[in-house]
Amino acid sequence: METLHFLVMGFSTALQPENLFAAFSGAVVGLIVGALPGMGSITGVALLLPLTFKMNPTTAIIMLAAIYYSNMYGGSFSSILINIPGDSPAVMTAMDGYPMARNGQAGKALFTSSFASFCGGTIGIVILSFLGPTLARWGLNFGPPEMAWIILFALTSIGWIIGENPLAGLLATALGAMIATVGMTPSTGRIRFTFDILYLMRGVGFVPLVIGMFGFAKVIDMVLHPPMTGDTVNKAQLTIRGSVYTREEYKRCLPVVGRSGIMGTFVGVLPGAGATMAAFFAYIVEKRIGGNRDKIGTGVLEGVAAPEAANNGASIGAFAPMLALGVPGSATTAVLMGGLMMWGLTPGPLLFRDKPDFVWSLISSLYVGNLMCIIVAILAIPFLSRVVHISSAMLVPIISALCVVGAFSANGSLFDVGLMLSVSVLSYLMQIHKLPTAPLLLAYVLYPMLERYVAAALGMSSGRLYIFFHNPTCWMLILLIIAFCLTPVIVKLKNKRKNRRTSAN
Amino acid sequence: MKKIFPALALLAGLYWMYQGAAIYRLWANGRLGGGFMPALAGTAAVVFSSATLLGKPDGRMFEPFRLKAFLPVASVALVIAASFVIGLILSLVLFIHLWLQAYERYSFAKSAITAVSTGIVIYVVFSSWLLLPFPRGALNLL
Repeated sequence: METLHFLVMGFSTALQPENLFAAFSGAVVGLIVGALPGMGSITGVALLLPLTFKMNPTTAIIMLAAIYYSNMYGGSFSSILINIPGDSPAVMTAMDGYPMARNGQAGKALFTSSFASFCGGTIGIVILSFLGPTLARWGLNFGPPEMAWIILFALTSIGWIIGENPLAGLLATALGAMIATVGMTPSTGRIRFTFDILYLMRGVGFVPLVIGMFGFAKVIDMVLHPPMTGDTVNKAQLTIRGSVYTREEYKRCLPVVGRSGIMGTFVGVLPGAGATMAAFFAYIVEKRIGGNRDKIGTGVLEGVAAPEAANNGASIGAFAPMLALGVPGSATTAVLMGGLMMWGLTPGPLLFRDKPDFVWSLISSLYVGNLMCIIVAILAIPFLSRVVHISSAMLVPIISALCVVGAFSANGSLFDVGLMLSVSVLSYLMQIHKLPTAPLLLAYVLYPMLERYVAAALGMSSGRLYIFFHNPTCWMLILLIIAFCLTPVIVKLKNKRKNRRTSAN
Repeated sequence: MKKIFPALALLAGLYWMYQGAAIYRLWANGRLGGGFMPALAGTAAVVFSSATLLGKPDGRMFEPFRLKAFLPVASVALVIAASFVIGLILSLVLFIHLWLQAYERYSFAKSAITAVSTGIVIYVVFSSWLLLPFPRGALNLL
């Protein structure tokens, strides 16, 4: 009942004209950026972050959130039309989406992706509306020691989960933590690791770091690996009337979207798991238990609906730990969290208690924005073949210019532009060594918080370490960390033994 | 070449560890010192980079280094330098035009239209709306 009351309150803010406009423009821009081959939600959010500097925090986060989840809609378009995923969560969509387009069902595949994204997103928002406050209430019982363990849990799970090589993820996490220690100490105010550069006193800036790591790094990637253009789909297939479902098709897809949306949302809540893993899981589950499992992979609606519902559910699910516990569930939510901190808001359990107007406006705007996304996505179907064929040659200098202006706009300083360039070089070096960049960003955002909580906990206990082990919650979190760290090692050993046995046989 | 990045990470980790422990202090006046968390991060970097260096070489792990990657970086560095003379927005317009013409082999008209229209959008959004004080270079003197 309380949730419904807060939702009504949130809708009164979310439906204000400037917030509606922010959600709408976020939906349109996110859809276009998502549809461009090779661009991801994090690149889109990073590039457009400076545009929100003049907005109030609620409007700004509504716009950025809209860009984020509408990107999930757009990412599937190039997967379906030209077999090049717009973003990694859309990789699984190409498995059935592209064969559908080749079979003359491009419109149906696009409609399926938008419809499934809408349903998955809505399921995610409903779960968030109830899970968020519950998580926050649970989080209110936590003091600095428990919060320190939660952040440590997020840091360790990120390293293990992201990428094929857990060691690479952990090394990237350590590098992100080191970068985060540059500048003023949050607990004592002492300046460190500035190398006598005045500009580094306030630390490595969040905006130049994000733009360098995900915006300009994308430019370098596009210069080195220009996105290929696939086969063009016959534009005659792309009409709204020809794309809409029949009653039979709705009946086939609804159960798929329902289970994939729920599963995706809960995968999204896990720190580090994200939309890509959710889409992958949903596709595999559908291939194992789905009613049409034998045909999945050949170009069927279920193969598009499952990953799309899951990745949109996951993108919304990732908001729950970010808002309620201050722990981002994905790299893009880490950028959103950094944005919140820039506007003076501290995500965590207290946000729900102290700033309910902000939190509930954001959650309500997700309902409105999701509805806008499906309308825009369906209306855009006839124009999509043009968007996905925008030449990357033209995008390279334009995105470069936006990166320069975006990095400059954070503090009005050319030093930040230089910093952005240096970070992009670091990102390139990481890329060629197959080190994932997302754990670095998450560690950069989380490490100063860890330092604050560790300092506060030790302050409470006059410097004695027992405070970190003083109650069952601490022990539960320690066990979780150990389990998360050991699981991949055990799985690897098991696989090795299995392979040995197979080769012996 | 394959070991350069982990080796650099190892050196940086050692530096962070040393600075954290010896200069900023792990513990000060009964409180957490400013060097504790950097030393912890440095230790993690040393452990994981050492494990990477000592681990079995994995052919799948590496991509060849390509100098071409530095082309956009060098171009933007030139934009920064040029901004001291002709200002940032004009430098960016010139960069887009020259990149499209010289690197992508676009026609003069197409690259000029793209460059000027991007410049106008940047000026309207960032200079007129967000009131960003872009460097105007020598134009400021006029």
